[in-house]
Amino acid sequence: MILENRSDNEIVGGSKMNIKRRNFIFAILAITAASQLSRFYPMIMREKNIVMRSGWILLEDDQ
Amino acid sequence: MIFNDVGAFQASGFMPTVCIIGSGPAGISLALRLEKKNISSIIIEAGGMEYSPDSQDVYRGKVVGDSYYDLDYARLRFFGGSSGHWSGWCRPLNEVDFEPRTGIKNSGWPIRKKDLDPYTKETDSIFEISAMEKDKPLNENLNEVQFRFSSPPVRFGQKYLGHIEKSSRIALLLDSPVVDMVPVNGRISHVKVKSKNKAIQQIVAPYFCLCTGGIENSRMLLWFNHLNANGVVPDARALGKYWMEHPIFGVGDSVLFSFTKMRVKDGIRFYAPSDNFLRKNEIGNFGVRLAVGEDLVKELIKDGLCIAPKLFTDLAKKVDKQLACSAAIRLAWEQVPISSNRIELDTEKDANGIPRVKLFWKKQPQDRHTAETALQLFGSYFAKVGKGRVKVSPWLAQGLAYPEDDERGGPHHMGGTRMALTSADGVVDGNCKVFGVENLYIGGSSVFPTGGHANPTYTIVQLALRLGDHLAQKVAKTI
Repeated sequence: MILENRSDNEIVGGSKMNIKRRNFIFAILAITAASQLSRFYPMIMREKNIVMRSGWILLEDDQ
Repeated sequence: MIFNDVGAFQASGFMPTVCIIGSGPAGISLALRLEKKNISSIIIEAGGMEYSPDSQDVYRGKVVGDSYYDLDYARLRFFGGSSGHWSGWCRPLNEVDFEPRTGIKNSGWPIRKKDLDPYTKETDSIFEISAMEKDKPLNENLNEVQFRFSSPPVRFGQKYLGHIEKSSRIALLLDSPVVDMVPVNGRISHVKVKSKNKAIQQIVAPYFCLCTGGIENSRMLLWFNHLNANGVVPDARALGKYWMEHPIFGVGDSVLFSFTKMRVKDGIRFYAPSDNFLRKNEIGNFGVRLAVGEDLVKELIKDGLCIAPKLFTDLAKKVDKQLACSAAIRLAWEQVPISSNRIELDTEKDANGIPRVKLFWKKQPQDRHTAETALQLFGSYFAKVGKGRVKVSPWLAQGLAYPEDDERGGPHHMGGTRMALTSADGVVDGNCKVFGVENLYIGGSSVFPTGGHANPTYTIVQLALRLGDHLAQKVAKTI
């Protein structure tokens, strides 16, 4: 009943608010994920094995 | 006040509370601190206001062991001391540098970093440098670190000449070598100074502080001990011993990928191990210096092509697009303190009749292990995070002799009158006071028990300021 009493503009305006809020949450999640990824990136990289060939310090899979 | 002759000083009636021997960074910083506390001092400088070949000749000596600088080249004997030719590198020691470390025999200071931290602001002001940034951890083992540069490097003689001239609490006595220090009942009673006319005169003070440098402090005390039956340093077991340098060598080259290339081209980048890495590994501290200079990238890629063809072929394409370059890797590192690296008196004497110095200096297998570990740590990090690849210099990778045409050392002269908990292990206590002597102190890097990787001048000044406060407390108690 309440919704029926609202104008179209009010309903559309309310939807716009929800979209902004959703985008904001997505943005926060994306930033958090990116920061976590960059934080753990060196840890992931550390799993790579190091070899020394003719004085060069290389990754094992360097070809 | 400035005096060019002992006689003129004696005639002035000036009564110093502290007699400081040596006018380098330690001696001048100490005098300035004492002045702030309203305590009078005299700085006795063996050399003159300017460099002179005759004065410098006193610093000639022999080196036995590894290739090293001529000893009269590695330090300066005139007002301002070796600050007259230092290059201005400033960095305090790390916390771990003060701690006893597993596997580093004779490591550990009787004081900690927190004891010197209160002098940071004043030391920065003396060197005219801005506040230090915190080390940036790159992973759990390696940090990107900062050196600050006193630029142009503060020459203590030039900077403080005007101030000392006007000071009513600091007297500077030039061209006056101290040739003896006389102990009476566990105290230094006076020093004997050779005047220009070769006459020997005495200077009396309640406190004495020897600040003549990382070699001369040991040479002087060895000589004074020889002259005095009871010894100026009563327990001389550690005197002259545990002398150290920072070995500095080119240890490798690196191929830098594009992003790294841009950052390194801004200037030298510095890397050092984390304190925890040093606590867990039996190596000395070290500082990696990465600097873009002569671009050897094409030669390095040619060298790497037969080892990792795909990687280096791809890199060659980047070089064509100017997206890769090379950078030289230099390493300055900490030597382990051992008693066989030492200062002795030679048979040949200088113009004042004091035996010249004979320096025994040899890098140890553990020192080489530090350099090898440093390159492995740095090269591994570089490869794993995709910054580039490192090639270790053949002399280091293949266990060959150290190059003789390289920098070899700072010159940073440390140890010889090291700080320790007891006289069995050192010459001075945590307040830089000589064990067994009530009123004799030592300033300068000769008191360092270990050297870290940072250039020593910054710590020398911190220690001198702290010594000034300690002496001020002692003086206050006697009033």
